[in-house]
Amino acid sequence: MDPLVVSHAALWVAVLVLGVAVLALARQVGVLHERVAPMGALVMDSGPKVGETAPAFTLKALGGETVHLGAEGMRRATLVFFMSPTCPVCRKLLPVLKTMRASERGRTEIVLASDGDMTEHLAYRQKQGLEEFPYVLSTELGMTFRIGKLPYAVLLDAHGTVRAKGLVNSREQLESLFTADELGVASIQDYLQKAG
Amino acid sequence: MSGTVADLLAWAMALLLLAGAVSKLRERGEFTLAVEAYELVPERAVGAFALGFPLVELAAGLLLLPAATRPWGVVLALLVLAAASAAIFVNLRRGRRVLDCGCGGLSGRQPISGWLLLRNAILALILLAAVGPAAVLPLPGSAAVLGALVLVLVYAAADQLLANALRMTPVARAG
Repeated sequence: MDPLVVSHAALWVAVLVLGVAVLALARQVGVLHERVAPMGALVMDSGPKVGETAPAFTLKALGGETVHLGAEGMRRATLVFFMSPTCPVCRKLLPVLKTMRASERGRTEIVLASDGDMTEHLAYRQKQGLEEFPYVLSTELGMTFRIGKLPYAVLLDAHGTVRAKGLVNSREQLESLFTADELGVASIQDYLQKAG
Repeated sequence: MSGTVADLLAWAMALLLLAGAVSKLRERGEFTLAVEAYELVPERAVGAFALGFPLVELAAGLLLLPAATRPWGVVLALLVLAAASAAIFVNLRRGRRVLDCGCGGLSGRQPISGWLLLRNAILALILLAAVGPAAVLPLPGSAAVLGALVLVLVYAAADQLLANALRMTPVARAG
């Protein structure tokens, strides 16, 4: 057989194999991009949207004080943290909220929101040392914001407008709500799409 | 068996078109949503368009295969490319960036971008070259087949790299 033909055939094989390899590499890079995309606080697309004004709520907190949320009566920006005594992730985030409360003092109020049996909540509040937080019980509030999963946080500005919201499972996600507000985007997904 | 440069180019384009048509037909629901999202076809016609477009694409791919029907295949394929490019162009002009291209086939998922217009322009040039004067140059049949495969592989890899690059942008900006 002509050596030129042999070498020619071998080169075709090499080019094809390399073509497949380059394609496979590119695909793998694509898969990696999908896997590492930061998800941030996941936003469920229901309830008052970011930018809309939340309906007004006047609630009696466990400590006896009155809490205004939404369209009327708010004095400063407020982070409403929806939680439950039976949710372990919520408990994990309580220390973070305490730190946040200290650093955001005067700028952002942090309100804990839940629903259910008051005695149970009073015991939980005492056990976890949450007396410093306004702690409200209102099924209606949760329904209004369509809270399906806990812990869920909604950041309202002083006029009761929703600035950011989302399911929060970590300190980073909680902080991402404030970042989202600063950047003026609804969520990290929204940010990624806009930038793309 | 002997071939020509025209065979190589046309077979590569046929593979691309057939892959695109088959994936659009197999995932009709998804392609229908993509067509709807382009906001160009009247709502009532979306279903028909989402079926008709891949069928034209399929016909173009099949007509490109034999040398006898190749000019018709080139015309149809150019129509397909022109329609897709026009749709992308209009939506880019509308300022939309978050719109799934709906390209299907080897392209995978990627948003619309100016790069896709460039890609389609290159594909159109390949189609024109397949009926151009240089296309009659003879090639061994095996080289035409293998060359077409390599062209398709290079296309798929380039497309994937483009999709990756578009994904990378926001992260780079965030950093």
